[in-house]
Amino acid sequence: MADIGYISLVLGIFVALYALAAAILGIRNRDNRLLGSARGAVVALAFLTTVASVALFYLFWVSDFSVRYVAENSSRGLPALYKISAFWAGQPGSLLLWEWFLAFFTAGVAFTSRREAKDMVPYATVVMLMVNLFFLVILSFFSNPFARLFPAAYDGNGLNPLLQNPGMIIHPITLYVGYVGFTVPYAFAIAALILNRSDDAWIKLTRRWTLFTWLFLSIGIIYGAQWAYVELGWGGYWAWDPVENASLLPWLTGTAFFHSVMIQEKRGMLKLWNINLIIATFALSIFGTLLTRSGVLASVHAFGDSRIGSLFIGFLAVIIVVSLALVYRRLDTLRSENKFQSYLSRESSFLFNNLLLVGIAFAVFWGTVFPLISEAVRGVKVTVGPPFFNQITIPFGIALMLLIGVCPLIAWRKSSVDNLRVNFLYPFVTSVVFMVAAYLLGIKHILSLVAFATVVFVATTILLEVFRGVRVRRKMTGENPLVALVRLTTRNRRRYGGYLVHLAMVIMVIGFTGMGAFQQEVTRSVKPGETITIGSYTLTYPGLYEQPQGENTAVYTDLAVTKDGKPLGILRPEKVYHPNHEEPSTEVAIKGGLKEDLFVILAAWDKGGIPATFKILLNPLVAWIWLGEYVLIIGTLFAFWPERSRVRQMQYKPAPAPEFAQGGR
Amino acid sequence: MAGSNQKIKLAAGILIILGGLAYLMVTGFSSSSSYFVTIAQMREKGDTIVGKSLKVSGKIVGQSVKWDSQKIRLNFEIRDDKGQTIPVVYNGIKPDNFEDGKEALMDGRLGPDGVFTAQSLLVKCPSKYEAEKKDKNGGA
Repeated sequence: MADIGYISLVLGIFVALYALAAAILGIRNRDNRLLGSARGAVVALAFLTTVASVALFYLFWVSDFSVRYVAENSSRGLPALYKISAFWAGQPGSLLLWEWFLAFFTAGVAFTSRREAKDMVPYATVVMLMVNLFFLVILSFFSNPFARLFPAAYDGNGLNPLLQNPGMIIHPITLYVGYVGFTVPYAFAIAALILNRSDDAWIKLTRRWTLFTWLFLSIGIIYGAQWAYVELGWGGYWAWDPVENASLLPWLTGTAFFHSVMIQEKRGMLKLWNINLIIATFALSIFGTLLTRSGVLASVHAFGDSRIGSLFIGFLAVIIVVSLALVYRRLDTLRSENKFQSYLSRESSFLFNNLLLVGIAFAVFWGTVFPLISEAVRGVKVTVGPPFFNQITIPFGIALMLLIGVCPLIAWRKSSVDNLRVNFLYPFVTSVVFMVAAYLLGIKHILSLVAFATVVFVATTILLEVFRGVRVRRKMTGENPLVALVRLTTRNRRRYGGYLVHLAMVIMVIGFTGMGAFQQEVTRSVKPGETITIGSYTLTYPGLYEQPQGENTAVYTDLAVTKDGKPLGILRPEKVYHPNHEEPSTEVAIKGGLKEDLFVILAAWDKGGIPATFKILLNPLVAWIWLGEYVLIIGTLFAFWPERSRVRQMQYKPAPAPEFAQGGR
Repeated sequence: MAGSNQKIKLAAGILIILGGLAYLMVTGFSSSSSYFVTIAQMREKGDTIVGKSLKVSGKIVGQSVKWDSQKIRLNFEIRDDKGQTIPVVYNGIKPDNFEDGKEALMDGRLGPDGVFTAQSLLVKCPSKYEAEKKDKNGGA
C-alpha cells in the first residue's frame, strides 16, 4: 500500500507536468484538443492524489508500522476515529491533505464552464498546476508520508494526546480547505492579469469560491480557538501564538478582499488594490502553511525543524515576485474608472474597512515575523507578547464594528447628513442608553463599555434595517410579516446573508469582551473537605482518585459545585497519563451557559492528593463566541446559496432580464 | 468636481487610521517586546537589564526545586551547559514533569537581588510535538 501511495505521488508529478505542457501549448496554438487533454490530466491528478490519500488512510487503519509516519503518529490501541485523524497529525500527512484538496480545486477550475470564463480558465489552470507541482515535489522528495521504517515498529508512538479531541478532526480540515481555497481566486486574478482583462469578470467568477473558502477558514480558526479552550487547559482560547496568527492573516486580508471587490463590481474602483489583496491573501495562506508545517517558528502547534522551510520561502518569493511583476506590467489598465466623491459614501466606508483590516493584518504580521527578522538581522532574539496584539486589535476591532453598523446604510457615491440622521438616530440613542445603564449597573471598565455600546449600536442598525425592509415589502405586497421577511431575504441573499454574518461578528465580540475584561481567576490548594469559592460558586474537594481509561490512566476528582447555595452537580477535572507520552494531558471540567463558564483545572497535587492545587476560572460570555460561529456559518451559507432560478438562467441562457430572474420560487 | 474639501476629509480619515496604527504599533512594541537572553548574558549584564522584560531558558536543577502549594509559589534554579545558574521564582502552578534536566522557558524580569521573577513558565517536552520514542512511563 505504501508503494502504491508513493508511486501515485511520483506519477502525479509527471501528470501535472504533462497537464502544464498541454495547457500552455493549447493556449499558444489555440488548440482545443490539447486543452481538453490538459483537463483530462487534471482529473487524473485528482485521482492519483485520491489514491495516495486513501492509501495513507488505509495504512493508518491497519496500523502498518513499517511506515515511519504511521508509526510516529498512531498506535494499536488508538480509537478508530483518531486512527483516521492521525492522517494529518504531522507534516507529511498535512501536506498531502493540502495537495489532495488542491488537486480537486484544480479540477473545479479546469472545468469551469461559465461563458465569461472561457479564455481565463486555461491560464488559471496553469497557475493551479504550478502550485500542485510544488506540493507534489515536496511530498515526493522532502516530506514523504510513505517513507519506510526499518525495522518496522511493533507498536507506534501514538497520537499526541492533545490532538485526541473531536475538534482536532474538524479544525485542520476546515483550515486547510480555507488555505487551499484562496489559490482559486488568486489563479483567476493572475489569469486576468495575463490576459489584460481589467473588468470584474475574475471577481464575479470567484465570488463563490472566495466565500466558500472564507467560510472554511473562519470555521477552522474558531474551531481551533475552541479546541485550545477545551483541550489545552490554560483557560483562554487565543494566545497570539504565531500559528494562530498565521491563520488569522489570510482571514483578515481575505475579508478585506471580498468587501473591496464589491466596490470594483459596483463602481469599477480599487482594481489595483483588489489584485494586490488577493495576491497577499494567497501568499499569506502559503506563509501560514509554512509557519505551521515547517517549524520555522517555535510554537505550540508547529512540527519539528525540516528542510522544507527554505523551499517554502523560495516558493513564496517566486509567487510574490512573479505576481507583482505582472501587476506592474498592467498598471495602466488597473486604473479606477471612478473617483471617490465623498468621505461619506459606501465606497469610502469600504475603504476605511479595508484599511482597518489590512492595518490589523500588517500589525499581526509584523508582531509574528519580527522575532525572525531581528534574529536574522541583528542576532538578537526578540519576541512580542499578547499586549502588543491586543493594543492594536481592540481599538481597530471596535472601529471595524462601528463601520459594520454604519457601512450598509450609507448610500453609494454620496450620503447626506439627513440620511444619516434617519438611519442612525435610534441605534445611537439605544446604545447610549445601554452604555449609561451598564455603567450604573456597575460595569466601570471603560473599554468594554465602549465595546458593548458599539455592539448594541451595530445590532440595532442591522435589526432596524431588516425591519424597514420587511415593512416596505408589506406595504407593496400585503404579505404577512413572516412571508415578507422570508421573501425579502431570500431574494437578496448576498445582502442579508452579509447582515447575518455581521450579526455573528457582533455576537462574537460580546464573547471577546466578556473574556477580555471580566475573567476571574482563583488558584488555591485545598485538602479533602475544604472548599474554594469563586464568584457565586462554591466547590468542595473530596480527594483524588485514580482509574484506568483504555490504555491510559486518569487521576481525577469529583468536585461538588453549588451556586448561591444551590447544588449544581459534579465537576470532574482530570489529568490523563498516556503510555507513550511523558507529559500527562490536562482535561478541564467546564460547567457553562450563556452567562459564564465555570472552568476548573486540576493543576497539581502533593503526595497522596493532600493538598491538591486547582486553578479555577470564571469565563464570562465565552459561549457567545461559539454561538457566533454558528450564526456565521448560517449567514455565509445563506449568502452562498444560489438564488435558484437565477443560477439556472445563467447556465442556459445569456443575460436574463433581472425581473424574470427574480421570479419563480 | 466633487470638491477638494471631500478629498481632504477622505485623506484625513486615512491619515488618522495609519497614524493610529503607527502609534499603537510603536508604543505596543516598546511595552511588550521581550529579549531573549542566555543565563550567561543575564549574569554578565546584571544591573543593566534589571527590570527589563526578558525571556530566558535553561535546564531545571532538580535539587533546587521548592514547591509551596499553600502559597502557590515555585522556587528553583536553572543552569546552562557550563553550569552557571540563575535563581527563579514563579508565583504559579508547578507544571507537569517539572524535573531535573528538563528545559524550562520563562518570561519575566530580573530583580535587583539577582532573582528572576517569571511571569510565565513552560517546560519544553521533547516528545510533545513530533513524537520521539520514549521510555514507557505509566501511571501517576
